[in-house]
Amino acid sequence: MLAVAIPFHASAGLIVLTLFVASNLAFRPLEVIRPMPMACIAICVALAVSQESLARLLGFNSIIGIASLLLLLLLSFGLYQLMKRFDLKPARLGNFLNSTFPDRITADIVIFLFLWNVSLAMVLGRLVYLDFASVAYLWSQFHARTAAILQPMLITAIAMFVLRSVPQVSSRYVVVLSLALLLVACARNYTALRDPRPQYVRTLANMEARRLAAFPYTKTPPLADEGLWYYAMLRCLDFNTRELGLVAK
Amino acid sequence: MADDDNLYLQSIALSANSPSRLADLNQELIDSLDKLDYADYILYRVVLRSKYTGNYRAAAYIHFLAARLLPVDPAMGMRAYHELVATRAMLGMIATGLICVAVLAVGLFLIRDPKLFAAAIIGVSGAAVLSGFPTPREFLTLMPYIPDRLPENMSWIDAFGRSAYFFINPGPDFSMFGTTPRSNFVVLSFVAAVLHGTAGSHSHI
Repeated sequence: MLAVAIPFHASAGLIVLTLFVASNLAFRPLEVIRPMPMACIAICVALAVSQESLARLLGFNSIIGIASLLLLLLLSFGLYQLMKRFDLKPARLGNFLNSTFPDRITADIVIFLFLWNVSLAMVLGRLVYLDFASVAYLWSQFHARTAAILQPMLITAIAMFVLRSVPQVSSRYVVVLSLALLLVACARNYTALRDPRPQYVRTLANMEARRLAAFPYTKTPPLADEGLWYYAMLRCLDFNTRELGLVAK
Repeated sequence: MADDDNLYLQSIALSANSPSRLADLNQELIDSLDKLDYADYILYRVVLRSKYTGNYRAAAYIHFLAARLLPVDPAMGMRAYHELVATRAMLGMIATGLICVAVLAVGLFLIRDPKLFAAAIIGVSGAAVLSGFPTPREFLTLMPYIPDRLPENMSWIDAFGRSAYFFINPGPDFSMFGTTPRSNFVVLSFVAAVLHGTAGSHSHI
């Protein structure tokens, strides 16, 4: 199923795939190291890597990428073997996770939250030494965006934990109540649902007016002109004109 | 809706058959902003985006189909052109949105565990309810042009709090109710996670 999601956002796909694979290899390796799951993982990795940009932007190349993947696999599986060697019974730990959080989502989310906090601390510790115009900007966005991707999963995991802990609550009533909540939320957010095109057209007309009046133009406050730049780009592609013409030649 | 992300996505879609043309335009943009003395972090953002063209293949392909369906007439006026761009954007968003809603419906239908089904419904409803909270623009962890958002001026607790706020309301550009490729991904990966949880194996990855 993740293979369907990855073509919509490869970088986010790689993050979620890493979470799934790492948590399963660490706690349920025997379920993963079988032909079918491995084939599914390989398809997802191939899909993500073939179109992914984030890793390259973070300074990964194919050699570092493959080495990191192998290291991740070794570390995840090695953790299992290490726990076995010291008689920590990883299966028991896996069972503990599965019984404490009786579904995979909750267990995975707990592992993710741990990794998220640890890596945020590491990144923040390093940020003050980095050049903002290079990796710091990207890293500063990275954790917040990852949290955003997992928001509905996290709410589901919390709900699952609560529902398992309070078995006397009927799932049917919960579903009805939640659907009612969903309706209220949708009504609240979309009471003014209307055709967005007139607003879009007005915005584009403003951009065109600025383009005509101000090119070559002077810059405005940070990032305020991004829409205008990409409008000029789209216009070039649509009308097959040669240059953006932002500055005089 | 008419933001830089959508306009750039349409540009990626239009240049699907000629990526070098898009690369040239991106290079011209970077050179122009450099000449205009834009700050480094803005240049860096534009450079990042110029390399981020293959990341949304499915959404770009759907927008490509919309562009093929509604081609530009070189003689058309600007008003007609803007209406065409807006219609293409809306078509693309509706098509990707319908795919996501269909997959979500099938995913929920396939859940056999009533508790997990209830939890998944709460997940969607909860995300909808939380979307009423303030948008996270003011919570972005680090911003290069706001003094108290520079890493050297921010405590770790502040940084944690700002990042963690995205678990509450990621905002329309990031949440499962948005129209960006990222929002499409959130819906589809949510279905993958729920099926993963229900099956207890990797068969649904």
